[in-house]
Amino acid sequence: MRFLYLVLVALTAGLITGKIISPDFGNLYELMLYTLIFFIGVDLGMSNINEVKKVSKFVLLLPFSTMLGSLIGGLIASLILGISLRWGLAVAAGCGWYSLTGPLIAQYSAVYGALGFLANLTREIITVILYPIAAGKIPKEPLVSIGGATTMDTTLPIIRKFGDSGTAVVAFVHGFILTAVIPFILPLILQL
Amino acid sequence: MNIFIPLLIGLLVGYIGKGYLSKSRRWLDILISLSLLALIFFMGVEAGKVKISASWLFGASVLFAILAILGSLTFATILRRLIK
Repeated sequence: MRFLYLVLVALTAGLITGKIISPDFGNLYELMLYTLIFFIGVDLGMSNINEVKKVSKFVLLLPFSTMLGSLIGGLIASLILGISLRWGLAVAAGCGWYSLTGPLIAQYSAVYGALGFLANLTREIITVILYPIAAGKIPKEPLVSIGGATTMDTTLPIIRKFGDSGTAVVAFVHGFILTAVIPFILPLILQL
Repeated sequence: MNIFIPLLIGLLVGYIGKGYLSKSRRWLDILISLSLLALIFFMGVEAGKVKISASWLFGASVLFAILAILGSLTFATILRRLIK
């Protein structure tokens, strides 16, 4: 629980720094991400190989249920906000991949491009805050779905920290399949 | 850079050095925690830089994120029950 407070402090400090100073750290964010992924790789490499063999039917189907659930969430959100289903489904189909969703939708509409970017960035931030809180109450494997495509990179460390190396494998496979599927589904929805 | 490069190098280092590195597992956990906190800080900086032009955009983004998360979690729970 103490680590969760540190996560919230780091996130708040970052938000305030970005808002007030808007510093340019260059590639530091990417560099930090790759360092972290390397450490996670070391951790997984040291783990028992049986954990990887446990990748089950559930793990392979989980990304598709995540996509379906996201689309239904997007459908409800667009009905509440009174926006076209095309935009609502496209925003939700990003599954947290804001750097792809924003620019892709922006080709058709700048406003919905901004919404696509911000909604998916918000999903990533909510995952960072929610996963540690919910990990003790909800089974860790289905909980992976909240991170969407980000579970193979940016939210993988938090899932590893509050789950275990078995959950980290589930998260990686989940994020990997979604990352492969989203670039096909998103343009398809935008052409509706 | 491709995300697989550091992951594969890490997997290889971890697998090869399993015997030696297992003694320093605590240090690995500390390194993961520290780099995770730094990553979250930089994530916050990037999010803080985003200029929100209207409160509607912010509200709509939160609504989309929450409903997409709830939808995903609901379907994941249903899937888990069906497979079990």
